[in-house]
Amino acid sequence: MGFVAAIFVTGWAIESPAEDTIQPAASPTPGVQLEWLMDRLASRPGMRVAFRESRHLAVLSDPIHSEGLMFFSPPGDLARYTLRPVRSSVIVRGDRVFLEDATGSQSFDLASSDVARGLVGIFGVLLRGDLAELRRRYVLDFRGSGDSWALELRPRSRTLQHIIERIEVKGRGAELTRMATFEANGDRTVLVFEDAIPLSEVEGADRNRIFHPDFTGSLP
Amino acid sequence: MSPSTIRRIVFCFFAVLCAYSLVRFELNHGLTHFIPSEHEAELVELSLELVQSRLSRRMVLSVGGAPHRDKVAHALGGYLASHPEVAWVETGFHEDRARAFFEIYFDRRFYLASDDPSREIPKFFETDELLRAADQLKTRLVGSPIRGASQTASEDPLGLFERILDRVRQVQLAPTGKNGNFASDDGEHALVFLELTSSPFDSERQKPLLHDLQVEFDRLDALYGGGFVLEQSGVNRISVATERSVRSDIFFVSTVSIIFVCGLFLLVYGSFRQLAIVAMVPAAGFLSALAIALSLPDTLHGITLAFGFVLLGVTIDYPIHLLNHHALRSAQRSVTATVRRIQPSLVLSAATTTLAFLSLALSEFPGLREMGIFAAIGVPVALGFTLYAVPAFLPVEITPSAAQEVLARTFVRIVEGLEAHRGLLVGAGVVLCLVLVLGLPQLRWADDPSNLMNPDPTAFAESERVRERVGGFDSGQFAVGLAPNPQAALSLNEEIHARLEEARLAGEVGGVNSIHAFLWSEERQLENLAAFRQVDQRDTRIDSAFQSRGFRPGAFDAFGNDIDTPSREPLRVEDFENSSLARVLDLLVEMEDGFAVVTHLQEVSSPGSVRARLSDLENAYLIDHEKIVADVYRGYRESTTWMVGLGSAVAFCVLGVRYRNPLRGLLAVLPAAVGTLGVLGLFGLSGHPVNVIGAVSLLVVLGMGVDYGIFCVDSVGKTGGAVSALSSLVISWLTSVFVFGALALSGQPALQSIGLTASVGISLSLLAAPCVVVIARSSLRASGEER
Repeated sequence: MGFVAAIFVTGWAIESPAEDTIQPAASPTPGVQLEWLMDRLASRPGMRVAFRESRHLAVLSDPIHSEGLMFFSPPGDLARYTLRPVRSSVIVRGDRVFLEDATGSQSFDLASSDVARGLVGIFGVLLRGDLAELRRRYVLDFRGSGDSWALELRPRSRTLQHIIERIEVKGRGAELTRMATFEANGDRTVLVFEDAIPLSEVEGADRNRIFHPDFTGSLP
Repeated sequence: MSPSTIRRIVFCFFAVLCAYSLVRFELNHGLTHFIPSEHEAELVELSLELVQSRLSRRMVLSVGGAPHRDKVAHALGGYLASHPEVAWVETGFHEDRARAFFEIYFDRRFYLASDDPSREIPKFFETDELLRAADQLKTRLVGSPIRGASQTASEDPLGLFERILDRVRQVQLAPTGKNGNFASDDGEHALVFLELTSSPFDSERQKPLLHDLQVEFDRLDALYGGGFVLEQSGVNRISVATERSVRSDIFFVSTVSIIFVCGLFLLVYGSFRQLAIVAMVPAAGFLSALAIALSLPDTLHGITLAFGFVLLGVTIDYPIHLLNHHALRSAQRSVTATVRRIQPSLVLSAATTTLAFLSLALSEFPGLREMGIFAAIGVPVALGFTLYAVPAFLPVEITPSAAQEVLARTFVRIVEGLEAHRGLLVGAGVVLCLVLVLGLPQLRWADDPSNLMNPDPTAFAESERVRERVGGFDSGQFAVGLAPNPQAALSLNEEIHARLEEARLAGEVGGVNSIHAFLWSEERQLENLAAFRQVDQRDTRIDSAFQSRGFRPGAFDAFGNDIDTPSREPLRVEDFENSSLARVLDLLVEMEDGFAVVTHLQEVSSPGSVRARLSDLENAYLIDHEKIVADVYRGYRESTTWMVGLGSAVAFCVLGVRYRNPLRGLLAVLPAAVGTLGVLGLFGLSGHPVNVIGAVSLLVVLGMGVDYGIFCVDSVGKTGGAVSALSSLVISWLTSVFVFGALALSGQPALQSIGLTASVGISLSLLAAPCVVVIARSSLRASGEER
């Protein structure tokens, strides 16, 4: 079901890390600027962050809640491990996406599909602060107020517009705190991140293991 | 006409025939040329088209060794995709196929839900089944969000699209690993599948492809750090390797033959000029027959050409007789006088051989008929050449060489010895009878075509290793349904598929790869839709069951709406065209007057049971390609053997009429009978099996044996005749044995078979020749005719 996989993605958000783990840069006044934010994101090392996800699906009476850990390593490696209520994983490594959950495992090529590149690839683009690529794929609306900011992304691709209406990313300083994805069919997914720490400070964080599609051990 | 004029005419004759043949040269290689019935021919043709054209064009590459083998395999696939000799390449179930799959099937999911719609679809809506479907959907929704289950959930609560996917997964080329790439079961080898654009036997095209493949692999091996192992399975690779071995075999055989034949002619005649003169006769016969065959509307078959060349080898006797009789002439006379002296024997010999070969024209096999006519044209031309052209090339004065004189003296002693010790003749007869009585019942026939060639052992072993990793549907066993149009073919295929599934469940078949996994008849698809529409309170039932599992009421209204007003027509053949799933249509083959729908089978353990399951379906057949070809070869071999018998009978009748004496007629065919039956008896005793090529080679033994007999019988009563005839036969025999005997040294069973059958058979015929002379002399003396 590679194509279906490629045409759909939910949003991820990152909450600001604790002050004593990642030192935020002094925020400019009067409000955060998009270029500054992207510069700060580009200068960040890899990180690990816990997430909580709420999926509001049109077919379900109640939202689905889940939680887990996400790892990012520049320039574009991502690993999202859902730990509760059901284990699943999404690994983005280079140009390949690997999925595994209770229904099985699969992979697809990020470069082979506009939709896949526009949706899954966007996380790498955002987290590595690639503003040019972000603008190429999305119409951006950035608003900063003091330390807080909000970025709305609307896909330029018509194919993508059939799937995603918009993505709202919110943050404070140089950190992403919340990401909500609004789908064209009315579904909505909200991700909230917390406890972000640099990957280099995570004990036992072997990059080759964490970002490997066959990784099955306990997470660092 | 002066000799120089004749020589000029001969050169012109060769030049014109060569030029004409080159311009018109075209060969047919179809096996159907060797099948008697047209109906069978159609099935065999289909079998060949599938096995030789399609399956034989498949290649499987296996990349093992270092950890990044997937990347190397993927990159190798990417390189090959753009190679002009590669029609398609697949490294896994990737995005383009998945996209095409979704676009073709999702909106048609109700059309392809069940093989048994009236029974199965109402069951989908029973409460337990709906609750199970709700649980499965929720599992998918709770699973990895990126899978996009929520995107299709409201339109497909029953997972109909997943059912289609599961069906297709069962007929994938190979299992896919986590990265979507094809891999061996143990995961140790990444696999690449490809199809060639050209015939795998076209070595001119295959060699560069195999070379390019190796060069690219070496580059990738270095790029990804080395340690990778590439192994290949494909007819082209074995074919190229085998061709290399056959070429070296043929080089060896030709070299040995040429050295021996040149040595022989140098020894006997003291010059190569005689060799050129002798070779000219079969060449003239062959070229004439070839030119006439190329002028006919039907394309000449490759096998006719090859065997025609061998058959016309018998005509080499004619110039040898002429040369030898002239050299050993007892009185001073001209070449023309020698020609006149042996002309009756030559004409009788050629006429008998022509009639014997013409008996092939009565065969029901077009290939044998063509071969008979080919030989029947060539033999008279060779005779005419011997009588009218060869004398113009011979020197005025020929004296016997020392070797000829030794041969002559030896034969005088042999004949005298046999006359003095008649018991030897009786003993020889008894031995022959024993060989026939004991050997013929034990004779084994080998009709498996795979036994005719010895593939290169290294390439073959590698290919087998790769095939084991794939475990695919390439056994050459398949079920076929014939119908006038695609829809009728698909309908028939539904019946075939149902029976083959029963066979699979009964363990009679290991696996079934059918177009049924992808495409059903419109009738069956509309039955599915109708069955969904007929379900009472369909939407209410879904709502009720799914609500109890946490789904919203009315969440699946889209599903009901799609059933009531489908957005797409049923799936048709044309929907696959120009899509990345177009290869699905490989299983629906357009024939001359209809369509064949093909199901590839894996591990057919009980062909009889499978055949019985299909027996009540009109125009449905189980085809075992190897068995079909073996049957064709067996029929061809049996027909050839009968034709040898018929040819011998014709020869006996002709000779009986010519000699007006049954004993002399019998003696004239004796060497041929001893040669053909004796070789079969010896093969029976030694356990050497006889194949179709051996059977055709018996025709050569027949032709040469009859020649031996005629010259022996005709020589009796003429001064020095027997000596000249027998020494001619020895030279002829040595020439044949050097040529055919060298073939027997080949490593290829097909060449070996020609060599062994012909050289042993001709040798036995030669052994019978002095006996014929002795018996004919006795008979002549008894009747007081000897001059």
